[in-house]
Amino acid sequence: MADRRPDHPLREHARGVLYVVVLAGAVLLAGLTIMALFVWAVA
Amino acid sequence: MSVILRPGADDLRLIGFYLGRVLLGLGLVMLVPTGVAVAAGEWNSASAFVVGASLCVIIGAASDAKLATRRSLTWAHGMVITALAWVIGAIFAGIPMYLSGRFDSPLDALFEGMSALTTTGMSVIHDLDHTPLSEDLYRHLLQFVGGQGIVIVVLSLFAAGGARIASLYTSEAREERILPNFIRAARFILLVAGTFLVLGTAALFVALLVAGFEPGRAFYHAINLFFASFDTGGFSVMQSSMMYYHSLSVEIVVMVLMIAGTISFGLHFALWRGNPRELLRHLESRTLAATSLVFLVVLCFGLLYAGTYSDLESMFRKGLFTLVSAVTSTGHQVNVGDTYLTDWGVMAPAAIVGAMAIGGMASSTAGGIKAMRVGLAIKTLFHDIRRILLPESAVQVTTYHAGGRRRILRDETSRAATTVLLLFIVTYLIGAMAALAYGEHDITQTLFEAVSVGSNIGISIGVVSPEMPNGLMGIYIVMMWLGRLEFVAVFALLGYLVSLARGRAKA
Repeated sequence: MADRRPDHPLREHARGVLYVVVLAGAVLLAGLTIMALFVWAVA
Repeated sequence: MSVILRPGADDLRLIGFYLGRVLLGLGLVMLVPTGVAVAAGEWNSASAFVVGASLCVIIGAASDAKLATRRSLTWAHGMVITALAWVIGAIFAGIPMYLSGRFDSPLDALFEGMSALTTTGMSVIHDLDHTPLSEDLYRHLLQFVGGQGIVIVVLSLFAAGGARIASLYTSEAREERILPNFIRAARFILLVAGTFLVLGTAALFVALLVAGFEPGRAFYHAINLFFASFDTGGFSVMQSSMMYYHSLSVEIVVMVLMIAGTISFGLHFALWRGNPRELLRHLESRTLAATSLVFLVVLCFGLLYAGTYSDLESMFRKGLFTLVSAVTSTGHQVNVGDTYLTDWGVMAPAAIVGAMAIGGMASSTAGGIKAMRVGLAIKTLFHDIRRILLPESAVQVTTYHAGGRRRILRDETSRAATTVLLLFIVTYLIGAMAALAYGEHDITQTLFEAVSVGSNIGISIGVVSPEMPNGLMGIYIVMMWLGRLEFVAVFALLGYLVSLARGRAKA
């Protein structure tokens, strides 16, 4: 398979940051959900 | 029996030359807080920085002029330079700190310098709340330099020649010329760090404005908080660490930055290239997700069982924040001193200690054993169990995904990962026992602190303080150094010293 042409650097920057922020957001949301389940179960 | 060759004068010149370059770089870094000190009229701090920077630049320039050699940098040189760079860097970084008058002794300043450059974040400074702007910036800037520095070293030196953190980086990389790797790695790392520096500082600035800070003060806190969070350092400009801000939005931005900082630069690269599937398949991210989930469940159960917090907001802002701070090896605190042990029951602190011990991802600024090694150790365990259960003639092949492809788990990889894992555990125990020997703290306190120091985390329950014994401070300095360099570079240095003393001269 032929190598894909690299994207414009700015596009790579934006994509890299976006993925990291989405990942971190997902991690925090997952943590919050699990904690909410525990709090709800105890209440 | 293999013959050890004694390094020649050229080798030592080369090592001296590059250590001089390190000092030259450190001297240039000191010019930044010097400028801030002059602009802010902090003349005491400015004079301390001028002395420190002058020493670094003079020695660096002298070694540049006197020690230049045509020899190429090899893997062995790189390892020795790395091990010595963190020692010499911490010594020279401590000079302006000691001259500032905020530390009791040169040893205290050395501790602070090592803590900064290893991104540990433990502090023995006096009167932190009234530290001048330039000195705050300097301590945080050192975390950025040390943090990005270690990633460059890991990517260009430890992982040279395609070898990864899993192996002890020997056969493939030993003869490789490492300078091109170094430059390539440095370019990408500074690009990513620079992008996050701009965006992270801006996000923190806005969050601090929302929290009611004036623009100038918001910017000052934002830039320092960014360095401490993205570089998983954990220094703070205020004694009360994150509690000072009383702001959910600041805490959320800091958590995002801590997570961004603990992602390995290999995965950053994959994400920048538009390959998020790598994150889902990589052994390290899977291990980190699984272990963090276990620690989160234990933490929730522990906190609710102990009755420490009962509402979701407290659980999130205290519990989850501390867990993220521990897993990412940052060390920002939302609780005071030993309340983690006195108010959190038994299981919650145990979860935090476990998270601190494992730490974040390899080739990031995070410290600790590293999720990659834990993942490999677990794979090794299952591999061995299968080997016991299956007939002797059966061929057992265990694979894992890393670096964009599926790899076979080899014996040397398993051995290297488990050896370093064991060395970390031994270091934690030695640190805990040493502190215990001074008789001022119990085993839970000393173990908590030893794991935090050895993993370069920085969450302190109060063992580390300006009043701590000098002997213990010395042990903690060595622990931070060993933990940051993951033992490998230090062993290479020891081997080099042995070959200097006992090796046979080259023909």
